[in-house]
Amino acid sequence: MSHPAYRIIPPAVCCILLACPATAAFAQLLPVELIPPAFELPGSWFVVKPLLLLTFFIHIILVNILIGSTIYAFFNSLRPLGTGVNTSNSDTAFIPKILALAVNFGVAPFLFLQVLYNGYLYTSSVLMAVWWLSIIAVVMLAYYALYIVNSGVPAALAQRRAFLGLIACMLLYTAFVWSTQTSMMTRPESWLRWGQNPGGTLLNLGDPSFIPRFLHVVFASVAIGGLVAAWRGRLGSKKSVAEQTVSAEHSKNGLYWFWTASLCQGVAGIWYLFALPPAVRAFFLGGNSLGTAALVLALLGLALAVFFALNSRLTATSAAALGIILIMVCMRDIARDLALVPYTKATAAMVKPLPVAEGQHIALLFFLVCAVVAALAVVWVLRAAFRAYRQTRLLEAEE
Amino acid sequence: MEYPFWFIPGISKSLIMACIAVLHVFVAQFAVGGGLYLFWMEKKAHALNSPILWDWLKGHTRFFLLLTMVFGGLSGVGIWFTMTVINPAGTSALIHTFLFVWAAEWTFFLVEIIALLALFSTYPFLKNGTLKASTHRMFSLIYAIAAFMSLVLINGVITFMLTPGQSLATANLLDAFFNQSYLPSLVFRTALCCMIAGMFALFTASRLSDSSLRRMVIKDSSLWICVPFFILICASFWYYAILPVDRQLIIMRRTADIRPFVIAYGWILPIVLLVGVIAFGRAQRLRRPMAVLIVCTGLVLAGSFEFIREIARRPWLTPEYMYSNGITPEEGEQAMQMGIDSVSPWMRLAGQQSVENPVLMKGEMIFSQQCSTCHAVDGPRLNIIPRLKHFAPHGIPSQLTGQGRRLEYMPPFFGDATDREALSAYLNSLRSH
Repeated sequence: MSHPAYRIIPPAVCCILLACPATAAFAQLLPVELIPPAFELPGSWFVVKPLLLLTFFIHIILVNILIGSTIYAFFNSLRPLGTGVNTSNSDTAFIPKILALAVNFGVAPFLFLQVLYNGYLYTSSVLMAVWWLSIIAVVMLAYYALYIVNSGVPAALAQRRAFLGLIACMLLYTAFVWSTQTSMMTRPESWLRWGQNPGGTLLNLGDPSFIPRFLHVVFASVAIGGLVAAWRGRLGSKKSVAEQTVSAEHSKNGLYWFWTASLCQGVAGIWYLFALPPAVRAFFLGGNSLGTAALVLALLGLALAVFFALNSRLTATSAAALGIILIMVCMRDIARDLALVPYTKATAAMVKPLPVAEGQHIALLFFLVCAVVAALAVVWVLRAAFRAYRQTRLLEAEE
Repeated sequence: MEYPFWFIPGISKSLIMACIAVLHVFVAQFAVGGGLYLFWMEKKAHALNSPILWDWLKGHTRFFLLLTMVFGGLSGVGIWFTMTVINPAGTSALIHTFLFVWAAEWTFFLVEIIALLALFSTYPFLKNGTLKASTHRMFSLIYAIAAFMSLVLINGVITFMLTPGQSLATANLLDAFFNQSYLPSLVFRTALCCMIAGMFALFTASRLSDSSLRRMVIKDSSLWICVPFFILICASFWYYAILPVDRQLIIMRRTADIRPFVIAYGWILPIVLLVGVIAFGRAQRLRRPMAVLIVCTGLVLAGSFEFIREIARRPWLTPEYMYSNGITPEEGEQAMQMGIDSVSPWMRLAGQQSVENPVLMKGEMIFSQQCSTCHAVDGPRLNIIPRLKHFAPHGIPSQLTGQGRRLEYMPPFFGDATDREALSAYLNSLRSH
């Protein structure tokens, strides 16, 4: 009876109501009662939250590149032969590396997300356990399928097409499950369904913001996939006439994909905004000056990005796109916190002490040192590898 | 009890975890040992300057990348996902305790990925001379160090769960991380990593076309199995000796949950040494089926060890902090005095559903919450149905009352008399299965 929910209804009244069979049946659990208590944070919120946002920013860009480039490669393979578009492995050779990095850069925000929102995240994980666990196998299959495609084993174009379509579906399924996870964790009111279905198969399709949220990911991926294709066109080899044609096609198609998908993204974004709970929506629509400024900046950024893309200004388009993604990552985080305000306020007193609290600052320092050392090692390796790559390209050009 | 539980009666939840974890740890240990192996073998290939050996090394690196980066990396994430579903309370406690340790481990994962991708992608640059051999070796050394550091860090978390020592009293992270079984576990695992690296090298080397090179690589790879084996044996004894007496007793008890794995471990040790010696002695004639068999012995060795380590924690997830079903002693005490519904809002939610037999339904949910971490209903593992035959119908409530005292490897039953009756009714209803 010490649960904060009972501040809403006094315990004595609850006892009387529950004692009476006629009223006990109506004493439904409140969603706030289902929220597990949180632990204290092992580090300052001002350290953990920025780390979450930074690592998620990198992760979502990689995810957008991964899904978008796969969809681009699939649609590229649908075009009839003889159009001059190269449907060889150049479309997909880099994608497995992106997948490896996307998974790696997903680990870090997943760590920080668990620490900040474990009560919400783990609960929704259990409620959708079957779907949640399935994405490991699905992503693994997609990963191996990408390597198979790149090995040239599906020699016929139709087989390659089928593989690429399947991989794109698997990645979109993964995005669908993640969208379910991140939306269900912000809706404790939907957790009450567990009583009727504890088998781990719940989804969140009843949430009005779910479909626009998922479409937001899809259109963003298509847009970024197009941008990547445009960069491949700009930086790709142009030794032969065929390669020059391919590069020109990628440059043109890529930017076309970017601005059409971005316009769709704008529509989906507005739909998403108006599907959010009123209190969350109001924050970005005049309720808060910073929130409103962020939304205005994002829309301006979108307009700029489309303008630059229409004028084939690739670098400016990319800069605008990165800016929009950064703003969106922050807005998304604020929207999540706002949606959870009624629950976080009610459960604020339930924070549990850490089982092991001392020495956390040493671990944080160690992590920061490792991050610096890792960054230096990564930079050194990449510089050495790219130096050799550039020298190889020069040698090939001389030949 | 603060979290919902995943209702899947037909399989024990710990078995799901075990399948993913054993496969992941096997491949991850290959990643660690394989990194050291690649660095060592590359030095040899440079000294011999054999194009065939370089080609084999490139092929082995590709195999290494496909297995460790794809399967190893994703199965590691799979362990996270499974932990959050099967024991969210335990996972929450661990992540809040070791957040920055895991974050540091992540930085080494990033280095591993970049270094391994660079290592594999730059083989052509070695050939055309645009990349120095020493630089390429540096890639493999950086990878090997990063992989070893990830083992150094995760080892602290894994060993804490078995031997938290004084850390729960001192509440100090360094006590938790550098606990009593940290060092023997690190030595044991490092030896095992090297052995697994040797086994997988046999797998790819068995197809080398040049017979003298195949003989050399197989002999060298066999030494990677045989030499660390003796370190592994010593570390096994060290590990066991350092455990608290109650953990040692759990390992040596003759119950069906752990005994098969102890026996398997005892038998597989000499078999692993034997196959390593055979591979060394018959290097010229080693073929792929034999190499596959050798890899399988490694899987049995790693798997039996991991099962023993996990089961040795029983009835705890972390001794004195949380039981294996995710319930803390404090929650359990309250549930015993005031009933499960007083502690678990999810049980109250389940109780609000209109069903034909609410008592049976409650019993089924209590089983799912408290028992299904280890026990399945008519499925793998530790199927509860045959175990019920040891009790008369009126004996089950007594068993539940004494659980945790008579059967020390099981958590106590956490519930009041009404809850006990409900679970007893459910268990009795299973007798007809």
